[in-house]
Amino acid sequence: MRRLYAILVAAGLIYMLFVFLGTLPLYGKVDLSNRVSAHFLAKDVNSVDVKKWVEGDKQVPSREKIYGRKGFEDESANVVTSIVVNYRSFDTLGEVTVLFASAVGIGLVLGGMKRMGYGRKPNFILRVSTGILLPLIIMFGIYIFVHGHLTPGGGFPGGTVIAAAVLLLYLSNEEFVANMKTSKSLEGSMGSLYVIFGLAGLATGGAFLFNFLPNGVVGSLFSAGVVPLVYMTIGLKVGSELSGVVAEIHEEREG
Amino acid sequence: MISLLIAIPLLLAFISIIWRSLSKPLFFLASFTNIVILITSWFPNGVEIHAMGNWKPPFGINLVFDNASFYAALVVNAFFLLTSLLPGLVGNYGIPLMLLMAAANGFVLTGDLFNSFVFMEIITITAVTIASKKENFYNAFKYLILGGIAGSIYLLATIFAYASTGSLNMAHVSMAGISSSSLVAITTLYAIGLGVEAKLFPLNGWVSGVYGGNDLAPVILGTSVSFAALYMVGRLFGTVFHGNGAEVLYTLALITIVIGEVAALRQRNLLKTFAYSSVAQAGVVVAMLSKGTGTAMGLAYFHLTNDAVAKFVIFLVAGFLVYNYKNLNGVFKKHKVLGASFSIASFSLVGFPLFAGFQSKLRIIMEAFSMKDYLFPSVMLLATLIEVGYVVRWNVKLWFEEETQEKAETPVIASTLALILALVLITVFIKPDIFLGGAMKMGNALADTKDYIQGVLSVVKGGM
Repeated sequence: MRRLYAILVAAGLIYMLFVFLGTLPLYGKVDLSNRVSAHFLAKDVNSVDVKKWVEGDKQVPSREKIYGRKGFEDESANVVTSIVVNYRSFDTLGEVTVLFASAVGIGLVLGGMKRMGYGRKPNFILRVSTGILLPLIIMFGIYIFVHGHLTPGGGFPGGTVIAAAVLLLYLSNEEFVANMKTSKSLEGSMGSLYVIFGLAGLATGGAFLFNFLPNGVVGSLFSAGVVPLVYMTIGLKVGSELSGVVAEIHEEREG
Repeated sequence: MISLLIAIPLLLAFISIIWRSLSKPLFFLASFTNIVILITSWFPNGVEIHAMGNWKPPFGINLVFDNASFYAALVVNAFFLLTSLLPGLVGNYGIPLMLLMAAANGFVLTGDLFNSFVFMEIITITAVTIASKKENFYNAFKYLILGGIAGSIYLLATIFAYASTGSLNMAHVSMAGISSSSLVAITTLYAIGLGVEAKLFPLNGWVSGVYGGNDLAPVILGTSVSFAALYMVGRLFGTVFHGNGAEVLYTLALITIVIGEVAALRQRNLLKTFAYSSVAQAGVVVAMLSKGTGTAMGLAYFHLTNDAVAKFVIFLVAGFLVYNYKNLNGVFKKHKVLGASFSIASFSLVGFPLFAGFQSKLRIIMEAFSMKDYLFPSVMLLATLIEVGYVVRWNVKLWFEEETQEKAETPVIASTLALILALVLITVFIKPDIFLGGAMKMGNALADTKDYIQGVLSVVKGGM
């Protein structure tokens, strides 16, 4: 009987979602000029007259704006980064906090004292290749988040790659235990640093998370103001956080 | 200034992961600072915005500070401050509580649909962490699954809103013309997404397990988080969608009231009884919110404030009793102060004269009659009858039955707080304006879409 109810509820939900899909505009038929993202892509948010824009006067960005080479209001070469860490940076602060909250929750629920073993000796190939791969993986992770404003990638993927290196250490060595104190302090200090960047923007520009550093030239490593700094803090924070989660999953309670 | 309400608890939470022992004092510091910030900007009487990163709305994310979000933030932070005064209750959970405070503030203040989804995610995750206190893992897991599904559906609703308006800004969405078929989709999905936190009928199965599982979860989730979630119901269905989809909410709310009260009457566990009772009260509030006028919404939040204060006292006392005594018969003979505050709070819940609940219930019923709605008042009177049943039964059991156990140590701070709040409930009966004034301003601000749009986008368009 219970299963029947579950099937009925699920069928109702699926039917509802299918009906609702019909209200979405068809693929390729959307007028992109009336979406906020059109102006994110052209990076000309400041030049839009909001009053006319919301009343239906769509201001399509000019060709020079879309294909231009310099003088943007945000100079990150990766347009996704400019949306994620500049236009909607507050959401990213929220997402960083989501991860932080989950890591804290895992710590409170799982925390233990002793390293849990796998019960068998790691393979010889695994042990040797870990030594070769580890520096490469860490370097790759750091590369991803340092160049987050230039190439696809950023703090979240870069940090995850670094945490994968820690997981590899756990897999290849039964004795290995990550230093939780270091990872927690790195996680906490990097998280606070993001908020402090936001507060610095509040102090200098009058708005939380304001980009208070010079924009530079698009494409160079030191460009896009505060964006690369924020991505580096996110990368280190996510890396230490997920390493902490990996370590906590490998802990077991005594007895 | 108002971005500090979110930034300070967040910053202190990040700092206290480095020095764990500081988390309790820092939690107190964060909630105290927030209350000070709110008091210095008492009732803005207009719409102020804070554009994040100086990107103007509707492009960037903006926080909106008007009478509605001020009053909601004040109530939310006040309960966090009260909780932070009880170190025994907070325990190891200082960091999740700080994050929950930051997220609840963000949820209340934000003027952006996607941003509100992000804060809802944080609320769900931290609330689940808090719910797992005292190894209440099974119920916390149930809550995690329901909360996760609700979060995805809330996100889906946001996607639909973006697809049909091209914007995530609440003010812009509310003035953009949405076709009626997509409006149905958007409002239904938002109703489901918010239904879990707002404890609406088919989605409230988690409440009894989570509230009944430990002492911290009901105190904070039943007061602050409920208030934030129900504020969002008012903001979305009142301000943004101008009362569209209100019929669905109204029907669900009436079912919620009846089911909640009946379940509370059948329940033999003290915490779970009042968990179901707070489900029923959430139903009353949503039913009133679905009426959509400023007065009705104001009265809904007046009732919610009374209920939250009463529930704080009830859950505080009940949590202490359940975890210190095996058998609850006659325990109030040993703890007279706790008993008196519990009785006052529970009578206020029913709405006996002399207590705050009477003022809000009477006004709600009169307002419903004046709107020619006879179904809701009759449901509410029936609910009150059932409430009398279980509240009197519990009071008799806790005060007069034969006592059997040794006395546990009386918690001094908790009983002082409970007594003060109980006295507040009596004061509100004499001078209802203490809560009613603010709640009315909040209701009117929520109903006034035009002012909201003008405040956020500095434009007005004819009509709604």
